[in-house]
Amino acid sequence: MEMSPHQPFITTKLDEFVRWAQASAIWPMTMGLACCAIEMMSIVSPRYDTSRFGAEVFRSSPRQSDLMIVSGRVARKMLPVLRQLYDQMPDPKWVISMGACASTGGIFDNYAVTPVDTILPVDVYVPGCPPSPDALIYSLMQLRREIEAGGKANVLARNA
Amino acid sequence: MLQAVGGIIAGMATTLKYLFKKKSTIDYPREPYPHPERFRGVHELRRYDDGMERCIGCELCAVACPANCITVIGAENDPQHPTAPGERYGYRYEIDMLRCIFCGYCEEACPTDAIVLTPRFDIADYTRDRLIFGKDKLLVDDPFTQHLANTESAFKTEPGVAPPPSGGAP
Amino acid sequence: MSADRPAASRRMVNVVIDGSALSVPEGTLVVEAAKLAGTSVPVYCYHPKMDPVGLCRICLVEIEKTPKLQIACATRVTEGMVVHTSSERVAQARNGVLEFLLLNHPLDCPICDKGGECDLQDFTMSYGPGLSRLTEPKLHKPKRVDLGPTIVLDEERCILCRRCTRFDDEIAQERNLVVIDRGHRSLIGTSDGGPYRSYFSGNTTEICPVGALTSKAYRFRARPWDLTHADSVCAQCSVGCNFRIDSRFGRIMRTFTRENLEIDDGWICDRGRYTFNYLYEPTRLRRPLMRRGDDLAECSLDDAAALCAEKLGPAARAGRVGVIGGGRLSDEEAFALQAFARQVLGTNNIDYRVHLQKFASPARFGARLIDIDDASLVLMFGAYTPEQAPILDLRLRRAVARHHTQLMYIGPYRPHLPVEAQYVEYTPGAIADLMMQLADTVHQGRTESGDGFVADIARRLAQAEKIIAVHNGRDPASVSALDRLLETLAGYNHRVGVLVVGSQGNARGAEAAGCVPNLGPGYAPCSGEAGMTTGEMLKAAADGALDALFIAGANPALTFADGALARRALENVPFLAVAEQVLTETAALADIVFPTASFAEKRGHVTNLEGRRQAFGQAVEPPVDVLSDAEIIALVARAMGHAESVSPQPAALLAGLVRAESAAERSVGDLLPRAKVDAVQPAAVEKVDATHRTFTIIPVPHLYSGGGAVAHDPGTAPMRPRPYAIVNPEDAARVGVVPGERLTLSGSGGSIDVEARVGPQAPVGVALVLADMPEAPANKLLDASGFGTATISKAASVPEQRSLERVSA
Repeated sequence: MEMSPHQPFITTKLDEFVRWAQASAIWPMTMGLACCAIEMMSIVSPRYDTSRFGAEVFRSSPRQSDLMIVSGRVARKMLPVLRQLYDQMPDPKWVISMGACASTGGIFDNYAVTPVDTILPVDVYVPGCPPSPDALIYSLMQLRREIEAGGKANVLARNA
Repeated sequence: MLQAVGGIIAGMATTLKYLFKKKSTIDYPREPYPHPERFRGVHELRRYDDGMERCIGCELCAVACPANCITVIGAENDPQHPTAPGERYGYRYEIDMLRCIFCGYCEEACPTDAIVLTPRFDIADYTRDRLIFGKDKLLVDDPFTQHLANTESAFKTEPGVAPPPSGGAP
Repeated sequence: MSADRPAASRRMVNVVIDGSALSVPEGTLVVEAAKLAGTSVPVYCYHPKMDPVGLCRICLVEIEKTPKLQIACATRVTEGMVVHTSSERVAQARNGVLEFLLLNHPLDCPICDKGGECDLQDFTMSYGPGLSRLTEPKLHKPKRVDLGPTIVLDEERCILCRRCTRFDDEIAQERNLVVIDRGHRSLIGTSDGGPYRSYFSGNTTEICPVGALTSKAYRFRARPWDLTHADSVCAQCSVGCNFRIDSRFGRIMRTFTRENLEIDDGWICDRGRYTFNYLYEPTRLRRPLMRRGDDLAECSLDDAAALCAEKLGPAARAGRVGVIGGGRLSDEEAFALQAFARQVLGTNNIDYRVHLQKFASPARFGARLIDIDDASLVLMFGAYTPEQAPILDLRLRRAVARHHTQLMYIGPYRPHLPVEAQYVEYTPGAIADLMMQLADTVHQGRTESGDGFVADIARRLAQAEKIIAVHNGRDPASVSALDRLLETLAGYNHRVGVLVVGSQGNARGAEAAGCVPNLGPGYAPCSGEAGMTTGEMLKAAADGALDALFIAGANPALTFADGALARRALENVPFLAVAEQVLTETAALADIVFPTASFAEKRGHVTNLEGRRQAFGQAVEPPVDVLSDAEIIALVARAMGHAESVSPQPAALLAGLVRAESAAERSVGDLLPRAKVDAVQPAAVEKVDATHRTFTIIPVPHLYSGGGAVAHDPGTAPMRPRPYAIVNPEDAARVGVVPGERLTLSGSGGSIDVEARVGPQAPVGVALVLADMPEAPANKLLDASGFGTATISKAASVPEQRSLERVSA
């Protein structure tokens, strides 16, 4: 985005504008699986208030959501459900893996608890057990950075 | 009817009251969240005042860890240029932050108060391998915060705990 | 303790231990009886294999009708004894003993290698005090004491139980490790103040109940709870000691004994214990190599197998192919190798023998290792067990020291033996004659009346109740003469037995699997004409009569007796494929080199020198392109279109081997058929005169010599000898050899540079040259008989050469 020196217009590239728009209204899906969900719920409360970033609208339907926050341990039986819900989300869509269990299995060392990135392309991982709401908001900021950069590869190249 | 109007007025009064109160929202990216004093966030590895690493590579943190997220490989110190006091040091120290549940058992198990959990939490990242923290990320020169790690300060903040009798436990 | 462990025939006595009544042999120690009763008494100084000393006092128990507490490790049970091992008084006494033991213990458990498997930790947690009442500073002693090439000692941690010094005294019979100074200033050190050098030093780190003795190879590498264990069998020599491989993150960290009373008695030697770090050296082969001009370049496995098939196929059809190896492979792989030779290549030209050894099994009178324990006389010739089979030697030392076994060593020189032995100096070619004379003497009953040393030995043999012969199976004449002698003795109701100490770890397994030119698996005669022996194959290759050689796990360039012939053969043969772990002298001459998995990276069975087949498990995964020998053989067979002939699976191979063995069933006591041997003329020993500089060369073995794994292992490098030649002091004075100077020995196959040593063990006119050293291969000087002659001169690089020449002239 840039101000033209002589004319009263703001010009921008279309894709940058689209990215800005996408990043400014990330609607999460209600995807609470376990204890992390309690922390996830509180991010829309007044104290944390994600409406400041346009991300307060938790949708009940995957067809209206942009972001899946996988909050909680993903059991093996939940995997197909998770995948189906993800497939039902319209593009562009993003995934945040919240907490130790969803990201790696955490303290669970068994066949049933599966890291979510085995079936979904995770954009941001949030460490914690559970992560505090502010850690989740930080991951939202990271996701916004990724969207604005135009994808994971770009943001990683920028951070490298 | 009157009751309903009264209800609306009472509701609007509450709204009006909170409108002029200080907002409870914390403007997070611009101002930090106030964490409780004993919040357990990202780990750091401490040094002694003379620059020597506190970690002796004993792997007790790795044993205490319920999530098995700590990997320690010890090695023998070069007697001329020791990395840590004593004979052994942590040659490699890795924590998988995504596996860690921030329970703080490692901190409790550490015999030299080398590993400490700080209040830092903002480490969410894009890939899993970037969240495996090695010594390069964990080892700090300036401690993020001086809190429970220090035995002396621990005794100060916990007045109920008496120091052990002189001589130490066997 | 095993030394005077009560025999089963002893009287049984009734005792009550912690309320449970049991009957044990009279004379059993209370601590052993408590084990039988199912309770354990804590011990530090006591070790089941060593004499009790009663030093640490932790094993105090209450015995009724005895006013004071008694130590369980030195009190023997008597009839009607009532023992309490966990009474209030006992607990109090243990608590007190532990408080004393911990007074000056540094408690650096977090960094101590023993932490986690430490008896002091465990017993303190179980019985000890929670706090120390000591307010004075602790006594400080030296830490990180470099005790020798393998051991680092922490004097502070030592609780002076003296297990290590007693091991060195009672078990190893070396008496080097001692306690120096007295009282609380006591330290562990060596009697001469020098480094602690022993072939068994690693065992002291294991029996140390605290972390005082730590092994350099394992120091600070891992904690005990990190380690993954795999049961394995040592393949470094033919004894086949059982041990456990402990690994972490797929890398071997240490090895640990796994007690098998009938084989190793709970000990392993340092070569077996420390030879594993070569696997992680850059010299370890990790990719197949293919010859491009003068160099070997990396290639893919498929390319290597394809080239192998392309070259071996025509050579096999022409019958001009040979296979060497098997003695260092597992039983299954030896079976696969012979199947490869016989079924894929269609030849009987297969031989495992690349050393002097000709036979790996006694044709009859096979003995067990435990037969040494109660032997009255051990007759050793050819083999030299302290260097070639150290754990067998440990048993022998104990038998000689404790059970009055006589050890008789017959050989061309006087080696150093740690226990009392009778030497019979005899030239190698004449040992067969001696055996024959002995057999005649015993047979004709002239033992009482005769004189001369033959009659003397015969008398000893006639007096001995149980006779065990130990040899290395190198001389067919003396082996058959020995059989005759033992047959005679057995006829007179002597118990006799033979142990053949092989040069290769699995020589016996290879022989049984059929890696010999005239015998198939299970000693069954092979179909068709007998093939060529190693010597014949090498001769044929040198003469251009062989087109291809396949060598698996063997290094004839360094170990074959006639080194010049072996080198010429390997250089002349048009195609040479070698499967090896490191780039040996043989592999360096190859056209294709396959990298192979080590003993820790595969599973299978090995057969030890007494014929016992033992399973070993896989401890770690091999690197990506590294296959086991069986897999390589199967890969080449598949590339040649014979996929069905050789299986890469150990289980399938073992099934095939067992099937072949049961088909060739023979009853106990039958004579085993003999492997085909080369006809070798005994060496013509030149006559020496006063100015003659030509010496007879006798190669001598060393535990750490060899060109394969041990040459590339950083763990055994400090113990590895430099090449040397020992000459008699008389000869040294005659030709002017000064100890420590460099000598050049020139023989028929070239010359080598060695360090001069002077010692009485070398007879006059003989130079004892360290065998199997890659930097100075003694086999350059030898002929096919395993002996040779060489001219000694000063090495050219020595600066004071001229003055020495003048002196000698």
